[in-house]
Amino acid sequence: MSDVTITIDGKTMKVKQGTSILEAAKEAGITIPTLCYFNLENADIACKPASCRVCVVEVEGSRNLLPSCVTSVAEGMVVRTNSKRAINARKMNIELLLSDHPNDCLTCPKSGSCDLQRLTQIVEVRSIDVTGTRRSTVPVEVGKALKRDLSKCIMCRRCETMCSTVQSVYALSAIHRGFPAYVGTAFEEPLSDTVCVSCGQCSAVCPVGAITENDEVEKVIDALADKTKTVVFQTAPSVRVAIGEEFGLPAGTEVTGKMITALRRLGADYVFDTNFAADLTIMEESAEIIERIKAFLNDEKVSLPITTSCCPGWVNFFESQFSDMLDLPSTAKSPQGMFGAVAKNYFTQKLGIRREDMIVVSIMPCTAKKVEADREALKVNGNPDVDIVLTTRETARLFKLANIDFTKLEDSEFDDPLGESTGAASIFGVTGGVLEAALRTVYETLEEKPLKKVEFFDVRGFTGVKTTTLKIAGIPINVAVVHGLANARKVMDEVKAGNPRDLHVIEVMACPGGCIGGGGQPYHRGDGSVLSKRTSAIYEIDKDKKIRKSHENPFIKELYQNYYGEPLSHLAHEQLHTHYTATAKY
Amino acid sequence: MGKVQSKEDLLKLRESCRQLLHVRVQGERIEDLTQITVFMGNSGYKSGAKEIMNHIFEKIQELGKEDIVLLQADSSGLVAFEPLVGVKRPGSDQVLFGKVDLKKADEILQDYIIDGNSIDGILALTNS
Amino acid sequence: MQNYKMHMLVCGGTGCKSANADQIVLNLKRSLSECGMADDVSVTQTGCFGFCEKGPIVKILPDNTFYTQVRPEDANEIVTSHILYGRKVHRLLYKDQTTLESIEDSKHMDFYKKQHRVALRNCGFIDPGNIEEYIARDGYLALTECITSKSREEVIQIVKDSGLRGRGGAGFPTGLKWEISSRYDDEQKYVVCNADEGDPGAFMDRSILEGDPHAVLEAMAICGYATKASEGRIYIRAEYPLAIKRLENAVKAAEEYGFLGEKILGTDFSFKVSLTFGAGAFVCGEETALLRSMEGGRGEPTTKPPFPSEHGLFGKPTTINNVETFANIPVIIRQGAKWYRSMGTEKSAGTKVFALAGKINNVGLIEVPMGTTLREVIFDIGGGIKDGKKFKAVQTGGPSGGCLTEKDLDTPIDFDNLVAKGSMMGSGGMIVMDEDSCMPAVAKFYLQFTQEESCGKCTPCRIGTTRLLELLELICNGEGTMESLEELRRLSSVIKDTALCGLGQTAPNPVLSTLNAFWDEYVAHVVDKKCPAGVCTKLLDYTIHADKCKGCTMCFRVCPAGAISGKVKEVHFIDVSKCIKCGACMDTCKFNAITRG
Repeated sequence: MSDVTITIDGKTMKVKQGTSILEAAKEAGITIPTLCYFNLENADIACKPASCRVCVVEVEGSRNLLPSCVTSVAEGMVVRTNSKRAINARKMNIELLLSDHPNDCLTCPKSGSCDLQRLTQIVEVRSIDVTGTRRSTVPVEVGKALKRDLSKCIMCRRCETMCSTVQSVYALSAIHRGFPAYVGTAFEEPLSDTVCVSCGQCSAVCPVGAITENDEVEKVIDALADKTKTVVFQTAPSVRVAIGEEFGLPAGTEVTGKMITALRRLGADYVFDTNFAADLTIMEESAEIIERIKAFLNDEKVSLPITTSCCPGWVNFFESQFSDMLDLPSTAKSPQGMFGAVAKNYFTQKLGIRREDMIVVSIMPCTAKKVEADREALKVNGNPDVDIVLTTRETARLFKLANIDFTKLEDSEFDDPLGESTGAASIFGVTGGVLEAALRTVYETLEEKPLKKVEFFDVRGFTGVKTTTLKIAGIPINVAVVHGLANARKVMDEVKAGNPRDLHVIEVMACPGGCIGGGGQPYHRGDGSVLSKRTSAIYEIDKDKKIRKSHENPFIKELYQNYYGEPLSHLAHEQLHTHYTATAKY
Repeated sequence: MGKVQSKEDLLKLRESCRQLLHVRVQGERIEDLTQITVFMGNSGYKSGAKEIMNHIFEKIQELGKEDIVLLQADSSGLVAFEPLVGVKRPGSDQVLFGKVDLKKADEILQDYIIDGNSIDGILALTNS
Repeated sequence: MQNYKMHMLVCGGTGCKSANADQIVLNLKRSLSECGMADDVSVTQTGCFGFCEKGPIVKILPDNTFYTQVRPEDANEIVTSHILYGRKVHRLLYKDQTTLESIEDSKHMDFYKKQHRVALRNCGFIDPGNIEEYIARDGYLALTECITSKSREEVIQIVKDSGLRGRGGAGFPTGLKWEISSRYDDEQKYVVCNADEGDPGAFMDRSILEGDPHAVLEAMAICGYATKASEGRIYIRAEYPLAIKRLENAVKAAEEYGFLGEKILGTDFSFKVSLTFGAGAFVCGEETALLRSMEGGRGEPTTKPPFPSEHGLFGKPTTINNVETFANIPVIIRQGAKWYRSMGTEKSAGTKVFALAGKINNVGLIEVPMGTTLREVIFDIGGGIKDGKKFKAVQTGGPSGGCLTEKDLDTPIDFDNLVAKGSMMGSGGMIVMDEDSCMPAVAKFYLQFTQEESCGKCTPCRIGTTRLLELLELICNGEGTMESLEELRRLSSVIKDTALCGLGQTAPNPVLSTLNAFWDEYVAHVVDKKCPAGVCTKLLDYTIHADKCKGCTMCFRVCPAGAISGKVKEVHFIDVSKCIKCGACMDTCKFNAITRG
């Protein structure tokens, strides 16, 4: 692939063949405004419908203006990105979008973080002369995980791309034709009535306020205001390396200490760590893995491969798409789920209060966690183990609402006994992390000797499906790490067809990169480096931990000693494990 | 296996299919053909012109003369001379033959048209 | 084989069929039986003759009698008078509208004199349901020649040399397209025929498919051979049930005779054809949207490059051509590129089929050599404007085209000339308008169509065409201003410049061309709030003329808005401010005392 010479806005440069005008411009320090364009390169996710027509540029010799995002450079090409014609066309197309938009910026949840709003600041649209009818309004729909306001849809197709190509869920598609067209569900059904898994990736990429997370901040304020309740917070591994971004800190800045302080400033009674529960999850799940593998080696009938079950997007997915294979996933609850159970049983007992008097609020990078907390299996007599789930984005808004100047906060520590965690727990936030954490415990349990190196580099990285074989105590264990549900579907179809690669353990994360790329995280806006920086930060936390294996967590040991007895005990099964039910495939 | 297996098959088939469109093709190029017109109408029909017409048609088929087209017209008014037959060569005037019987019809077809000889019985020349 | 002395051809195009052509066929056959002539005279239903204004058509051969406006009741007379006794049925003959003389043979009619039917060569001549009639007309000979004695390169070169350009609207050189497709190597390649024909009022492709389906199949096979494609797909709109039936039967017959299928005519070349039906979307006539629809996806265009030749159906190299383009291929192969080039203009070789419609005397389907002038088409072939009205404009290219006016009448029709005049060839629709047509209303009509048919993918088309339509509605309702006209221009130019596909890019053409050619008419609508052509009801004032009004009070009684006042036997008066312009008064007045303008 040789280079070509092009001239863009008067600047001549050499560019690799196959580069788009948009990318070439970037190299030349020219930022052409875009709207629908989305390219998460390191995750191989791209949405380039070239439909917004904002990034249009003038190319000598072309009769019409061309979309710079999908037009490749050619030898001798002369481009003008800022000619009167191009700027005028850009303005007009944005004006057209605004003429079919509610323009309720001041009260819109996306105000301040909306791409369309930002565009109007760059392209200086000062009046909307083409006023007219609006697309017939579809009522605002609020579901447990997501809120949809389709009057704001600009047909960028990013949500559709995530839902179909990346997740293979296909709950969203463009519907109707022409002016009434928007991206919605089949027969305009409420999203919660469809096969949607609530992963929220649609909300993570929507440039406007058409799809956002269901905002439950008010509920937390109410809970904190209720003096009769003990409010307990748990924070997920991925939140601490991302929430700082909402306050201007660079991506991947670890802000654990500040996060805890902020929660205390809100008035939390206890600030615990979901990572603690992640260690617990490893205890239960590794025991389960070992149990099944031992049974397999004994030629007993056993369900293999075992898959992880901490990702609720994945759980929702296999309950509908692979409902005839519900024996495969681990029965262990997710860390959020386990924490809720421990908090509302063990800890309420310790405090001497009823479970109804405790409000467990979890801070999650994930929208599906809101739906998970609502599962019947995670409730006792109607009282949920986890009462409220806030995404990272909501939590940042809550801090701002509570007048907290986040970056100026001092660091604090988690409360005990549910606040101490190991390095293994920390890496739950990245793809490959759950498996690696489990392997650290499985290895030492089976080998009956300590690991020389705790890192399992083979299962790390952004590749969609990673497979490797590990020899543990002489047993070759074939493992797979998958992120993105379309990849999960491929692997599960393979398993269904006879499991030719003989996989024993599969980790599945619905979101690209794992939880650090979750549907409720601060917007990455297509910048893949945000995900990789968060990932690096997670591995740094692991490296800095003194204790890096879940079974060495003293507080976990204490919990078993004082309460659960041992992994997979009767009580453990009752409180820390769950079951799955088949749901409709379409 | 289709009915047509080679170019030769197709050409043979085309030959035999041409019969289907023969009369239409003749109509397409009528100015280039020798036109034999049999004048019918009620009077012509009564005088037996239909049989003459059918006979001429069969003869043309037998002889394989694709450049002769057989037409029918209303009675010309010359009832006394019916069956009345007109012959028009391309570029020439029409020649009328009166009281045509089967023998005369054959003569017109073979001697006059095909062989190009002059024969008796020409009633008149008309420029039609 | 039966030796029929006479052939009766009955037009079996959709137009004539809906006027009972099928019954005419039945009645003719019955009458022939009754007269004992069933063995002497054949009755065949053919494709469209083109003279739709005068249909149903019955043609008698070999005497070339062309009967017009035939009804089923006329069948018996045709048989007993013409067939039995040679006495033509004069009242069914076509009468020239100026001389009022009867014309028996269609080739002497003004409608036909300047036409040259190449793509339509078999329409109105053969029975489209009988492959042997097609074979008799040298059918499948071109395909045979190609696969048995020509190389792929030779075939492509012939098409290139002929100068044939796509007849679907874009006018891309067909030979070049085939050459580009042939360069891409893939196990699976496709030939696709675009039979979606969405332009309102266009029925060129429909007539070819109904009247000569084998021509298209043969051409697709030739294309498959040239481009190394083994599969052909026809995307045909579901609104063409007759064409679908004729095509399906033709495919079966072609397979039976060995022209489609495995190892055709004993060569290595295999080609099969299947049909996919459209679902009522004009945008699926755009080639990439068509391919996406064929794949089972949403019918939305995708960006080019990559072009279908490289990345088409299911991502495979695909050659996609229009029906009429294909219809020309077999005859080009047989008669040679030089012959085809001898017709038409330098940059636009050959002929073009047009669907001539509107305020014209001879509405129908015509085919003329490129280079024929608009004047010749409208006034010679078309027979001039109906009811002696004045010519105002002619719209070519359907909703993607523009209006040409009096000053453009001597333009020789070809791809480039029409574009230069602010319009385009399009697929062949030609609508003639007279003094009673309101040009802003015409623009509005076309925008109503394109706005409805927009797929909704890109901003300028999805929202832009809606805004354009809204502006035109305001203008025609008397609520427009001079700013509206400025806005029309501004919007139109950006939509043209930035829309993703041809639908959006050409949607503003009717607006821009009428704005340019009929500026005064637009100004009258927005400044004077008047519609000079008397079409926009909201801009018309109803007036009662004192000299004609008898004071009968009928209008007063029938007015729903109470806008009319007057006493018995006294002249009545309309209060314009109350008038809702329903026209009930004018309809009711027996004295022609009320006018509108």
